Amino acid sequence: MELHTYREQINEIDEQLLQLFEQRMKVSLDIAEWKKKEGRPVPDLQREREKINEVRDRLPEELKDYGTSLYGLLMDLSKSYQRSHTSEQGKTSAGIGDALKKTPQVFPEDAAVACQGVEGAYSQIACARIFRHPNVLYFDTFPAVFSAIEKGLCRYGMLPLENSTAGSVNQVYDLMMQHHFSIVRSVRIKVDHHLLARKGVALSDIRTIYSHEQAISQCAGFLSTLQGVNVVPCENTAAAARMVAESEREDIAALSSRSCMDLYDLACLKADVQDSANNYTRFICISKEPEIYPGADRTSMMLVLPHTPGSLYRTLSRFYAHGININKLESRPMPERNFEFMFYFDIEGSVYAPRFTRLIDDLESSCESFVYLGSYTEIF
Amino acid sequence: MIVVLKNNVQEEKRTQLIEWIESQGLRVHVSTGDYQTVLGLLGNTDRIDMELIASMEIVDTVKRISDPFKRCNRKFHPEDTIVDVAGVKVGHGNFCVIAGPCSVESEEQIKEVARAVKTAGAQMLRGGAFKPRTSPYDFQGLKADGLELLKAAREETGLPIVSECMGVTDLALFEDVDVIQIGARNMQNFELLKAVGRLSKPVLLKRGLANTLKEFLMSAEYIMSEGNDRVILCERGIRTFDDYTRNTLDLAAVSMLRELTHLPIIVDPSHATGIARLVPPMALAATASGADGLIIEVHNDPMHALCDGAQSLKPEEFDRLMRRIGRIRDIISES
Repeated sequence: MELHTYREQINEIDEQLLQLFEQRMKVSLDIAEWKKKEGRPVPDLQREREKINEVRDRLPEELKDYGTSLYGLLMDLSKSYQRSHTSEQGKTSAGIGDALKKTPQVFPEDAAVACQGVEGAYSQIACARIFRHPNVLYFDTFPAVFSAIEKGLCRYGMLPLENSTAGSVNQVYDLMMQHHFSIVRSVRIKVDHHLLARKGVALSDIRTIYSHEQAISQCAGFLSTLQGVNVVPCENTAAAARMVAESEREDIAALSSRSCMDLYDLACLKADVQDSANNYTRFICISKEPEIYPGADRTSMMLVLPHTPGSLYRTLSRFYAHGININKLESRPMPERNFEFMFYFDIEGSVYAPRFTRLIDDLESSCESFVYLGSYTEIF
Repeated sequence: MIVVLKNNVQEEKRTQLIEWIESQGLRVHVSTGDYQTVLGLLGNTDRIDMELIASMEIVDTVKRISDPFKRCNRKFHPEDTIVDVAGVKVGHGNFCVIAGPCSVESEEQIKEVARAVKTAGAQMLRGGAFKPRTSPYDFQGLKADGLELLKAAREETGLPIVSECMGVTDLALFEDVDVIQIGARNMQNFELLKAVGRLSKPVLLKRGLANTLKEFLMSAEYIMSEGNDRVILCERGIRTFDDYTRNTLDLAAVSMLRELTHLPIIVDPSHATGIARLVPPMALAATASGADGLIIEVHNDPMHALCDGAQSLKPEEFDRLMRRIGRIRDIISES
C-alpha cells in the first residue's frame, strides 16, 4: 500500500473521531447542566476512576497506558469545556478584572520602596530603573520586605528572584508561599561585581573576601584563582562593602557593585570579576494589592499539584490547550509536606485575551491550590 | 514604645516611618537631640509590628516603655527640657530662684518684696492671689486685684510672675501671668490640668501632699498630653507621721525624678517645713541635691503676714541665703 492510502484511512477514522468528539463534548455539557440543576459538583472522581478502569479493561495490554493518557486528557477537556459554559467567573479572574479597572494608566514615578540590604545594594539600582524618585527604605531581611508591604509601611518592595549565572534566589521563592502580595513590575539588571578594598591595599594583601552567597557563586571562577583566601558569605554585597570600609583591617575585601565603591569610598582591586560577562539579575517589584498597568504581558502564578502521576503533565497540557507560552517553571519543596512541591509559572501573553481568563478559571478550579501573583511588564 | 533612629537619617525616610505609625492610629512624639532622634509612640502600641520597625536600616533600637507616663518620660526625650519663662531659663543646669510672699496683700507690700528679692538675686516673683486655705474663714486672697498688683510689681522690677490658679473658671484672669502654678491640692484636678495643657504658657506643677512620684508624673502627663510641654515640677514636702514639721521634704524625689523625667525639677522648702528657720538649711540641701531651682516665701513683715507668716523669710535673711546658695552652686558646677 502507498502512504496516501494509509493517510486516507487515518482521515476516515479522524472524521468519525471528530464527530464523536463533538457529540461527546455536547453530552458532557448536558451532564453539566443536569448537575448544576441538581446542585451536584461537576467533577466526579469516582466516575473518572471507573471510566479509566473500563478503558483499560477494554484495550489490549500494549495500549492500556496510551488509553489512560487519552482518557485523562479527554476528561480534562470535558471538564474545562463544562466550566466555561456553566460556572460563573472565578474569583481570581474577577479580581484581575477589578485590578485592571482600578489601576491608574501610568506607573507611579515616586513611592516608598522597601529593599533588603543597605545603601548601595543592587536592589537600589533596580529601584532607580523602575521609579524616577524612589524613597528607598532598607530592611535587614527578605521577610521584613514582605511584611513592610503587607502592613503598608511601604507601597512597593524590591526583591531579587533569579540570576543568569547563579540561578534562583531560593529564599525569596520560599517566602512567596507565606506572604500575600502582587507583582507589578520586573526588571533585569546587569550585575558587575568588583573586588573592593580600602584605599592603598594591594590584591596580594587580601586574606578574606566578604560578599553575598549569590555574588560569591557568580564569581566562583575568579575566586578559585586566588591562593590562601577565605571567602565568607554575609547578608548582602553592600553590607560587605560597608563592613570593609568601617573596619581598620587591611587584609579584607568585598565583592560589590561599582556604586558601593563611590558610596563607601573604597578602591577597586579588580573590576568585573564575575564569571560571565552577561551576568543579569531579575528583580520583582511587589505591592500589597494587585495593580495591573497597561501593557502587562507577563503573568506569574503558584500552584500546588496533587502528588499523583501525570498531574504536572496534565496541568501543562492546559497551557498548551489554551495556546499560552510558559516562560519559566520553577519548583520548590513545600516545608512540612514530604517531597510535595509548589510550582511557579511565568507565562506570556496579554491579560486582556479571553484565553488568558479561561486559563486562569481553569487552573483555579482544577488545582489543589492556585495563587495568582500578578500581571506586569518586564523592563530590560 | 520608643523608636531610636540612627544619626543623619534622610527626612523623607523618617517621614515615611512616622506617617505609617500615625496611620496605625498612634500619635508620634518626635524628640530631636544632638546625637539621636527618638520617636515616642503614644496610644495602643500592641498592634504595631515591633520586629518590622527594628529591621529597618534607619532604626537603631526599639523599646517598649512599660511606664504609664510617656511624654514626660526621659526615655521619650533623653535630653533635659529647658523651660523658658520670658527669657529666664529653668532646667539643664539653668538654676532659678523664685521668691515672694505667700499672698499678695497690698501694692506697697508686693512691690517692696519684689525689689528686695530682685536685689538678692531672685529671677522670678511669686505671690498668691487665689489662696487655697484649710479654713474657709481664713484670708482667701485678693483674687483679680492681687494679680493686678503682681503685674504692677513685674512692671517695676522686670521679674516674671508666678501665681496659683485654683480653678478652670479663673483661668481667663491669668492670661498675662508668666507662669501658672497648679497647687498641691489641685495636682489631681484633671480638668484644670487639661485646661492649662491647652495653653502655651509654662506651668509650675506642685506635688500633691500625699501623692506618689508616679501620680505626680501622670499629672504632668495630663498637661503634656494636651500639647503643653512647658511643665516645671515642684517637690514641696509630703505628709508623713511626723508633726514637728509641716510636711516632710522628700529630697530623694529630686534625684529619682531626674532619672524618670526630662522636665525641670524645683523644690519649695517653705511649704515643706512650715518653719522659717528650717528654710535655709533645706534650701541649701535642695540646691546640693541637684534641683533646677527653688521657690521660697519672703515677706517684708512676716509677723503680720495674712498667710503663712511662720514660714516666710525676711528680705535680709533671704539675701544671706542667696549668697550661700551661690556657693553651693559653685561647688556643684565644679563637680
